[in-house]
Amino acid sequence: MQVFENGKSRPVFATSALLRATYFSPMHEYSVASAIMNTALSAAGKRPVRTLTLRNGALSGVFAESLSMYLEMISEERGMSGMRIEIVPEKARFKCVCGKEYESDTFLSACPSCNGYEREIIAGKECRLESIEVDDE
Amino acid sequence: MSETIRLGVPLSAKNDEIAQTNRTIFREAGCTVINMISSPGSGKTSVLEHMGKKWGKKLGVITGDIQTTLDAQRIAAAGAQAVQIETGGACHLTASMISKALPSLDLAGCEMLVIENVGNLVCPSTYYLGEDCKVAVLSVAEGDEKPAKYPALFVRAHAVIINKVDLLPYVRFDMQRAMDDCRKLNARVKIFPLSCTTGQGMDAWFAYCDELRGR
Repeated sequence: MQVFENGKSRPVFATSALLRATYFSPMHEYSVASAIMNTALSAAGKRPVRTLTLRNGALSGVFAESLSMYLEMISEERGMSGMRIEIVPEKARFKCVCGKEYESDTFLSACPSCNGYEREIIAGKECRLESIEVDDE
Repeated sequence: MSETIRLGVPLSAKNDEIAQTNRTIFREAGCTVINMISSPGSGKTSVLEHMGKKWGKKLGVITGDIQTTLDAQRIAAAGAQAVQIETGGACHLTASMISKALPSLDLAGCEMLVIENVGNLVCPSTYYLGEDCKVAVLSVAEGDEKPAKYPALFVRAHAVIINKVDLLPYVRFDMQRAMDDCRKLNARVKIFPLSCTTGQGMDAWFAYCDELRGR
């Protein structure tokens, strides 16, 4: 990162290759996968995680296939190869000003009741880590 | 035997927590914050140069790119405070990157902070950074179908700048279609046709920024 004042540059700190790899992870789904694993591992304590169950909203912006690939990669790196990954898709839900609630997989869907677009997204924007299955102590 | 532990944690939880801390810092400094998102080459930096010439150091900009400090140099030369984040490959800025950049700005002297996100119509839209509003920039050379093709950003954008309107005679761009799609995605969106070359529409954009700052 660098700060500029009147066009002159003054380096604030230089990021090392390691910092970049861990902090500024290169791929979107990689950083998401990494966050999931950290959350799962801290919830599991020292017990090995057998299954990860995620719920992915249609409008979350997370691509399930890439996420699953990175999760596999990270689980192997951390000595948990064979961990099962379940990603359950969740449809988006909208609530229209006319009162109608409806489901859809896309952002560009008109209200089936009044054909309008003045609606709120009430579900499907998130990707959540629902649960983990761990070995008993 | 195994045990199932219920978590129900949104994956954005950690980022959102840092974003809330950022937001508190912005509120305390009395600084209005825009998260500006677009594809590469839509003209975000040119818009910021115009804003920098008007507001000088009262405007702060945190600009994100994969590499180089070119944008921050341009914005600082226009008179604004500018900090560059080089992500080294990451396709979007996170709340944590913003938090680390904040000490490099004089926030107390800043009335408005614009976070110029990494040029990308997809990933940046899903990361909350602590901003008051998201502004999408779309240039007419990119095509009028972009809001429909990349809805994740336009559904979240409070305002859309349609940039480079001086090129309209030379490119196929149906302004009505682009505006209609933006409004289908967000019925309350504010739309600003703009040209950084001729200055067309700049007053309306500045007035909107003043309105945001007055909140």
